[in-house]
Amino acid sequence: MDTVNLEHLAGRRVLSLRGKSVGHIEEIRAEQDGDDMVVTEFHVGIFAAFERLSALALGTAVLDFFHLRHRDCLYRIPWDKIDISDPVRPRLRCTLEQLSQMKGGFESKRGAKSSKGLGIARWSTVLRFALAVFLCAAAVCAVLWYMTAARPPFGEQDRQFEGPGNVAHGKLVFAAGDCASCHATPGQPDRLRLGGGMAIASPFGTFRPPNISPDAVDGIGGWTVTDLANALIGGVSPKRDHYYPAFPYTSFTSIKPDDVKDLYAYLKTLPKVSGRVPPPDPALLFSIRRSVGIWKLLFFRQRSTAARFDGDPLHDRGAYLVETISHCAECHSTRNAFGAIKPGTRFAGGIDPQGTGFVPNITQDRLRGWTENDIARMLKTGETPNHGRVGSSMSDVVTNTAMLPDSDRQAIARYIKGLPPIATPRP
Amino acid sequence: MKKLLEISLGIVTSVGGFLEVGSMATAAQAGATFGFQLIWAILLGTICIIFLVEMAGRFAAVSGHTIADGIRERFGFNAFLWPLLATLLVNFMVMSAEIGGVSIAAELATGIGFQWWALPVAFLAWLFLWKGTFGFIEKGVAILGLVTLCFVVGAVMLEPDWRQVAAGAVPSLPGHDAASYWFMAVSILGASISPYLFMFYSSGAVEDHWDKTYLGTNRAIAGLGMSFGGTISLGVLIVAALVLGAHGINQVNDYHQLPLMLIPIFGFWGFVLLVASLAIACFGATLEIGLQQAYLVAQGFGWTWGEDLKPRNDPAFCGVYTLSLLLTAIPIALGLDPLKLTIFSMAVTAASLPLTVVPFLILLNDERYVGEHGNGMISNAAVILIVALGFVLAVVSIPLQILGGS
Amino acid sequence: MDLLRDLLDKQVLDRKQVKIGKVDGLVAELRQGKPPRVVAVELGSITLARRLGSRPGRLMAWLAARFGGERHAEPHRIAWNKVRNIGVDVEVDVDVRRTGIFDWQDWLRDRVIGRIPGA
Repeated sequence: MDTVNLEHLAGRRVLSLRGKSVGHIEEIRAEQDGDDMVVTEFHVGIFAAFERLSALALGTAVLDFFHLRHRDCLYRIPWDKIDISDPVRPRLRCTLEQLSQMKGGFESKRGAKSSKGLGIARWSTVLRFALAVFLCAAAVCAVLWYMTAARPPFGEQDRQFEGPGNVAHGKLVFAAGDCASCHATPGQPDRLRLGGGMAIASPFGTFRPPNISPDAVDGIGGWTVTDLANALIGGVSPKRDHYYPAFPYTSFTSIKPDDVKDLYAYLKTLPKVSGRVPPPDPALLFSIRRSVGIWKLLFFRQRSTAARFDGDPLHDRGAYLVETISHCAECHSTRNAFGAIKPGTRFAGGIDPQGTGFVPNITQDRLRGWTENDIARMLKTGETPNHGRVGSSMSDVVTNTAMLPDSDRQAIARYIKGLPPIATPRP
Repeated sequence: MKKLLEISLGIVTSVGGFLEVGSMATAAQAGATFGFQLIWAILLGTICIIFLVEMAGRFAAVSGHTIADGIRERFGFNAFLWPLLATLLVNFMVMSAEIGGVSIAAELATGIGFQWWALPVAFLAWLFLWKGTFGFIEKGVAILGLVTLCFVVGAVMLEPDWRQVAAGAVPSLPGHDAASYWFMAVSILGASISPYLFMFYSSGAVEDHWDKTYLGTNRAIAGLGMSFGGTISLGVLIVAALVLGAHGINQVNDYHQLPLMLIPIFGFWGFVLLVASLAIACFGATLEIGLQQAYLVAQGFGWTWGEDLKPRNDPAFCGVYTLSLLLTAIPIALGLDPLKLTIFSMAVTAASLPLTVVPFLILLNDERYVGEHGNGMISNAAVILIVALGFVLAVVSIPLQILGGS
Repeated sequence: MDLLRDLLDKQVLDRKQVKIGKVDGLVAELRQGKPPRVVAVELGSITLARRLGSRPGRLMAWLAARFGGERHAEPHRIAWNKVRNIGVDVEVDVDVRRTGIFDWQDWLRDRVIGRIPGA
């Protein structure tokens, strides 16, 4: 069926056989024909517009006032005299002589159709475009500015962090969180001197974990427990800046408030280290901290976790450790162009974000041959079931996991064993 | 008796709609700078809005259409897009100014900077729209708005020279600052003839299910209500002229000068009254404009609309006012000076008027919509003349004002 | 009947008097030797955007297909024989919930508006 959209005809200029304009279509008349509604006439000319607007008297008066009534004002053209197969370019099918017999009942002097309105139309297009661009830009900027602000999730008065923390338990949180691997001062053996400064290279620039020793000037000695909670859960610094997600608050965000409290108490007991690390050197795109706000809007859901719980206390403890505290997915997944974990590749390994190799797949796609005990033993000793040893940064991780109680390593193993198999993505 | 109650309620409502930050700020500025000389602008603006509001009510009562519906149907969507965009933009600016007005009132009352109030004010307004019904908003705001009558009382208590006041009703050439004189005249016209006001009025008439029996009520409400509103503007101008002039302030360029206006008359209570007037008038206008934005978009695209529907049943409509409240609060929250924004947006309003008023006038002469209740020659001529005057003045004086800079 | 004056851009009501949009477009069938026959009215943003030009039209169609899926890549059509009454408003014998016209409003309700307390 050959169809055409009639609304496109409204206001279109009709061209004669020789390409001369005879006026604009202002009305389409239709009549009932049995069950059908069929188009019978097209009305062309400025008076047709007045007629449509019921403003004939007014329009005539205005035209007369400006002495503009020297044009062909109204044609009633039968349906078969205009070719509307291309509704954007309607064409007359008859000669101008035939056309002059289709004039409507208005007195009119002969005269060429003026091409007034062309200049106005072009102007208005420019203006319309400029206005639209400006409005959109302003609106987008304003909304983005508002939405990308760093808002700490907890106020200073938050009751859930009240009371002293448990130092011994905090030490375990510290170990499970693998904090020392990044924050310990490089080039010296004491993993509890948290001066920071190890360079972490990434496609987004070089980041240096800061000094988190309890030094009041250079470290976090001046922090309150809510500051720590805001950093871990909200990714927001006490100065209300966004942290770069090189700091894995994307995982930490679901940490339990009691664990924050204990960790805080433990960090307070560590030796003070003075000296600040150089500021991060992010790639151009992220050199404005605010842009991290956009990143967070896209990829960060505060206090959410990817963990699956099934009610088994050991498994659920493992889920909490793997997904939140130990943030395993941060290394064992592939990241997208913006540096966020691709959800479909969680734990399936991929290129090390630091660019130093390939991080193994730890889903059942690759670990099928490992038992829970194999995984737990690896986390304690670093030995793999085929008599190898884990290498590179995992060996640092094992230094920490070795300090955990057996039950926690077993919990991690149980959860890892339960990960559904996902094929390793091609690099 | 019922009709009488309806009329008085309607009058009160239209006062609430009429008096907003624009009228107050422009009248205060004009009074301080030019004494009684610009009274004619308030009179012209009031006459014009009386006609327009009456037409809007008549159109809605007879045809069952709102103005936006009518313009879209009669002129087609492509032509309707222009008034739509212009009105949305103007409404955006004016609404921002209104939020600024409430924020300033809050700053005057608490001492906390106005930009901190913008978002809470927007949120409160949103809460009213979200939970309230049309009648609640219309009537609640209107009755509280009566507090602005304090300006009229103040003007009478100051015992101005009424002959001079009457002389101000005749347009005269300024003795100084010609550019700013005409710019202020335009701003006053823009503040009185707000497109949102008569468009809102027509939506309200449809929401209240008006029919032809309401034509008389409509005429009374439009005439008395708008005159009432104009009187209050006049009161503001007279008070500003007498009080601010006596204190040597001949240019209001800071909202903090406003409380001075009522203090010599009422003492400390003058301060309270001014803050209350400003807050209530602007808050009411914020609600009405927010609602009007949603009406306009919904009517323009043929969506379901109505303030009495639950948000759940009318998500698009609620989405529009939610979004516009949020967006309009932002300029104020970023610290844009509400007074400058107000004056400027009023002038832009005047410049945009032909876009909305001309199609509207054509509709009101269309028998298919209004039958035998079409416009008479006088109302057509009056509206065309005043709007044309406002437009010409705006086109001339806005560039002058921007270039001359104040 | 004058199609542009009496039909185009009028409010459309469905069977239950719900305002479902406006007549954004009119589709006619071209027939050999016979006058064009109106076969449907079109509603929706794609038709509307096409009236502003071919580029906005393509953009809107792409957007609609991108966010609404294949179902929304074409404008919504209501066959002419469903059009019941053309007066101040145009009434059609269709139940809007059986069409895709309100899909975006449903989305808005389920994802945004409905989640705000008190909705």
